[in-house]
Amino acid sequence: MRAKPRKWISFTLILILSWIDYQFFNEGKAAAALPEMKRQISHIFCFVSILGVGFWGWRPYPYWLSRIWLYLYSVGLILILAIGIIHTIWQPFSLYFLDQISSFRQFFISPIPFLLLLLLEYLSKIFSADDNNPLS
Amino acid sequence: MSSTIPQPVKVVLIKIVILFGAWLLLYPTWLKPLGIPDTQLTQLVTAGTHWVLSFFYDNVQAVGSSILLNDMRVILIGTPCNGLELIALYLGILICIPGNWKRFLVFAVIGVSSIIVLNIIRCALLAWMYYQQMSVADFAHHYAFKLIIYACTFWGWYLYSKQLRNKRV
Repeated sequence: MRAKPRKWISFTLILILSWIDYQFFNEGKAAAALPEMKRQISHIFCFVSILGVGFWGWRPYPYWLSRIWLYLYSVGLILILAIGIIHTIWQPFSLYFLDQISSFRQFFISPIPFLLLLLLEYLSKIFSADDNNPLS
Repeated sequence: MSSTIPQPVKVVLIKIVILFGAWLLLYPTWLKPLGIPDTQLTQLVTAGTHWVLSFFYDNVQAVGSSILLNDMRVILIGTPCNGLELIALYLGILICIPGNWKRFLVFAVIGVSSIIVLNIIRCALLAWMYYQQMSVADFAHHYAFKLIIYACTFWGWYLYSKQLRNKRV
């Protein structure tokens, strides 16, 4: 598949996945009715799916774009999993801290990281046009 | 296909990581407990929502950060709904993109004002939808309106960078 349609398909899938996460596992009656563990697993599932879909979308582009995506999401996932596991075993974190971690997770399960990468891609085009311009 | 990050993009990326880290440290530990500027922003959005709805309804009240339409509480504008995180993200990215301070100021003022105005319109529309008990209200609340505001934010960054291109080429 050509790079551009692949990127936009990936963006559309990310939009759908983040909507599913927010609508069914984050807020509202459906989320409140789910057991805590099921809800957390669903969040991780959406997180990992977005990681994979985004990586697939950015793969035909310059290598560093898909790398940034992979590193960004891997670091986010490791942090969230580590905090989740530590809290499940020892419960050392306050509700306030967990609320902040929830906001941190919501950042990843949203279209914002993809939009940031779009911006970086656009900036790289501007800078490379400048490098290739003999008059610059 | 290039495997290394172009140097100017690397600089932008490092700035983003530093600012994002600083925000993650400063906001929850210092700004959020003080309620600055959360309280002021929530008050502004509540007052704006009340003002917009007063054009369409005779009986609109703002009690705390709740909006009442004909004595029915329709929405509560909480801290996560005041748009502060999006404003911080918009300004943070703007700071990271190279440019002169005049252009930055113009984009900062217009961009932040637009986010606040859009958020007020979003809250007013949500109040109306919940008052009418529309089935799409939840979808609009959790997603559609957010997406529109995200798209406008990205458009702001894009326009700011576009001028950079016009200047460089």
